[in-house]
Amino acid sequence: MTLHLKHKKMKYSYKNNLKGLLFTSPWIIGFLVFSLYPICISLYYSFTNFNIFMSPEFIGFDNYADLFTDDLFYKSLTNTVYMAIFGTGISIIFSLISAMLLNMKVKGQSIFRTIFFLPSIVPVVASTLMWTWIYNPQYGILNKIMSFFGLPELNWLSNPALTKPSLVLMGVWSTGTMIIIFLAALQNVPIQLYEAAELDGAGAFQKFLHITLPSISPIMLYQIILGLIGNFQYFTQAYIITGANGGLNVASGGPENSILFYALYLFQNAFVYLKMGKASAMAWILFIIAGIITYLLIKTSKTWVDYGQGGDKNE
Amino acid sequence: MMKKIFFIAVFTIITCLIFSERQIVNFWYLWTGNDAVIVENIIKDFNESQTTYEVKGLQVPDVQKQIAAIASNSGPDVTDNFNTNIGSYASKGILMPLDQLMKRDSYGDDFIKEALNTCKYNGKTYGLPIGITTMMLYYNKDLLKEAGYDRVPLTDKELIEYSLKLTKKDSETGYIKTLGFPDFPFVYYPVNLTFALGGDFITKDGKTLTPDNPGTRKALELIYNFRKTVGIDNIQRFTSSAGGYVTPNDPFIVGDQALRIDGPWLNSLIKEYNPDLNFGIAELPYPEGHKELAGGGELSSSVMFIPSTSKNKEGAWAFIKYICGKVGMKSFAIANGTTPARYSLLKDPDIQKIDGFKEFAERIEKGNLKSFPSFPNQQEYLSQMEQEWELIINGKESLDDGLEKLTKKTLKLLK
Amino acid sequence: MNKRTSGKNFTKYLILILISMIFLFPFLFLISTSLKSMDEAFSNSFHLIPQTIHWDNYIKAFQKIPFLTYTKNTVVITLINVIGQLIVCPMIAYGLSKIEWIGKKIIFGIILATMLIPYQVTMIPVYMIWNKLNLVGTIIPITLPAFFGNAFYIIILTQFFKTIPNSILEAAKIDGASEFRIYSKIVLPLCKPALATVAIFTFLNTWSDFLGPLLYLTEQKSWTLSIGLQQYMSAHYVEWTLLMAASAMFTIPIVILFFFAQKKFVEGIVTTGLKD
Repeated sequence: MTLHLKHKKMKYSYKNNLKGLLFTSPWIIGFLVFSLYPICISLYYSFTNFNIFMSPEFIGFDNYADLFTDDLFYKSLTNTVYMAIFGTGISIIFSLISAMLLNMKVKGQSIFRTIFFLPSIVPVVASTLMWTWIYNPQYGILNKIMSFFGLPELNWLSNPALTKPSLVLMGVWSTGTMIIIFLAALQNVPIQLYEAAELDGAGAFQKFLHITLPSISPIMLYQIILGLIGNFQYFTQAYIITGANGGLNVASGGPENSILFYALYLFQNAFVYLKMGKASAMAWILFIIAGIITYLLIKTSKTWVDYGQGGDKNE
Repeated sequence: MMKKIFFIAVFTIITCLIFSERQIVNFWYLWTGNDAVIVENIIKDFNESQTTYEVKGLQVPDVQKQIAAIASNSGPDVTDNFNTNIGSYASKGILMPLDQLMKRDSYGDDFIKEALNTCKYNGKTYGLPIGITTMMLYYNKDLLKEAGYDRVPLTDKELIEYSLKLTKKDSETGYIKTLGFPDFPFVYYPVNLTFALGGDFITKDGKTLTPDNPGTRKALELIYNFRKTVGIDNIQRFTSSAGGYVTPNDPFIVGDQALRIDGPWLNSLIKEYNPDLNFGIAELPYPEGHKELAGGGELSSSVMFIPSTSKNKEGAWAFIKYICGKVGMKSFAIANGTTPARYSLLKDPDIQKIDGFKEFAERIEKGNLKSFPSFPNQQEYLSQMEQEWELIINGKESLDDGLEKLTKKTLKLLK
Repeated sequence: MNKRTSGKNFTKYLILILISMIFLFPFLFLISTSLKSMDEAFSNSFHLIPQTIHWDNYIKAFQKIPFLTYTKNTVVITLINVIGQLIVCPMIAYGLSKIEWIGKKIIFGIILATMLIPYQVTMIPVYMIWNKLNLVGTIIPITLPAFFGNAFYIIILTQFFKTIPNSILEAAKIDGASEFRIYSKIVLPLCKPALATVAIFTFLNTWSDFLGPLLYLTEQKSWTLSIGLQQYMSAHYVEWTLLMAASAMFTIPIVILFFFAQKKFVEGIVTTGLKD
């Protein structure tokens, strides 16, 4: 009896387990040192007051209390939510439309594909600097184009109401990767589905709604999740633009803090105000929010995402 | 016998060589452009004046990078910064107190009291001032004459009156061509105007922060009125497409700005980039009816300090003694127009010949200059105020609301 | 093709060209500015083609910004990262695809999950680790982690490995080959295209990385191009024409790489994009 049970439990041979462990050991070590340990210790940090010059001293929930009464904390949250919703949303819509356009059989499709994709590989620093110059109210090309069409010349990066939309536009310019992914997904939709629908008399819009969208819904979900998580961490572009005032202001959030994003404020707390405990608290709050949103998205996705043939959903 | 002598000789020579090798002292500085050149010259002079230390200068204009490096033990041995950071840095353990060294070497008598005070925190001295700065009202004589003025505005009432008249707009587009108000660059002047118009950011006993004070109120009202009349959009467009601050395209330097509040460095830059500019320097305006408050403004200093993680503190101290000494400080002041922070140098005839020096020295003597309070959270204090000010002058928030918010928010900063 | 569809096609073509213009004009403006003099760039009249072409902007950018030093640093760091990932990621992917063991599914799941963790959660503690080891200011913090793998690349390779038929491995096992031999002599050579993809992506990400150098490269002489350019802009005096020239030079290697390896780029993205 015991022998029988033993065999059942030993589905994997000891040798194989060892081999598997060895082959994946680099990742495991890396995970423990650079992911697991930091996650745990940052939770501890969030209950302390410390910086690079001082050791942590325990202060309980003070950091969290401080954050909940901190105007800038809420401002950074709303800014980031704006970016997450509008940035991700507009990017996805734009990418999908572009992908559908690219999917048509037109001559020179590969050239168009290249053009659409190229901006997304430009280094972030270079593209941000470039766009800062494009957005220059007096000498930048955008306002020249605006005035050419008789439109008002705007203060793209100094009017607090326009700074975030300007960043969203910058982001849309770099959606090449998303376009390619959507394009591949569109090309994977079986033509028979479309043909069958046409026979039933479906128009273009109906085909889109009932065939295209459901077929690419898993990819859509994936892109939405990644897009949201990415925008929660939006940092580099804001850092570069807010730093563009000659170093007079060490910690700026842009005009009226309109581009003080969560990651930027966190960075400032950690490395400018030297309040790493407070920054760690911010990190954990972000972690929890991101986790909840991802969980909700995946849970509700069952209603609108069609995993179709053999889709083995990974967590 | 000869062999022995030979070996001893060789040994001695080698030992001497080893010990005569200079100790390296790493000096990182925030200065850029012309200022950096001046500093490098001082470094060269110091290196040539003695044989123990060799100072290596490196331009690192990013304050944050300096701090990060200091924190990770890969930082410099000596660096410069502004007095407005002393409180927050010292309280975080970034700086080494200098009192013992000063006592040991009997060093520090000649420093101007107010300047030295800006380097203190909790009773200890954490830096030595290399130069004091206080902002002045620069004015474009030609533009003023065109508008019919033969002198600068003296009071806050006159300031707004002159500014509106001096601002010229393009007839077609309505965009600002000439800026009549010192609204560029924004960051500096509200603090200075606050002091000049009789306010202060902390109570005399140093126990309460006072973001809501008469000086700030007057200053913000002025700025808001100007912006509203001229058009906030127009101001934003002007400032964000204007040439860079203190570059050859700086609006004041090219003659597109009539009034400007700035420090002594602007003087030498104008001479360098646009020597034909017909300009003058005057005191900041005082509140109407309070002539006794004239000559007010912010006194701040450039400070040399030794990071707590410095690897060669004696070398750092030796260099600081030089650059803040009579010789070093004098060459720095002459070359870049800062006011030296030593009483003896104020009377030096070479110094008195520096352009703009007279005006600066007079104001220091007058004694209406104040400094931004020094305490651990001073950075946040200034940040929070600047953010609220921005909302107020852009018309997003009323003056009373904004200042009330500030008073509440900053209560917990002075713990 | 009747009139209606050709008409529809025409509008679609038009829109495609319009969008292409939107994607292209920033580049044009970049190059245009990089070849102008400061006066012309800051004048109110605008010409796409500069009145006088200032090729010397590129040379000046080289001198004013320590371009050579930054490039050297960037290349070194990028190469180390590429090598690191290429050594380690296939190994890990192999362990997650070709070996039947107890941790296979769990670890793959955890790897997927780690892709959803915002970097801020680990940023400060990791910084403190390097700080305590006195390694801030060196390139170790931004090169060593490459030798521990990266979730994205591991996933690409795992999916790729799964497409390699097990029969090949079985045959080798019967012949008495050790697991490692099978890995290195049989499987690895088969996945050259996927390895190329990983190499390309690592190159791209490291070349453009900003936060890593921002946190860990303190001395100017060790800066990479991304930090170098950003610091140049935040200094007082910005010559935009030079900055645009420098940005162009910063971007060009990536563009060249792209034109040589277009297909790999696309394949790599598609594989991960469609994996779910």
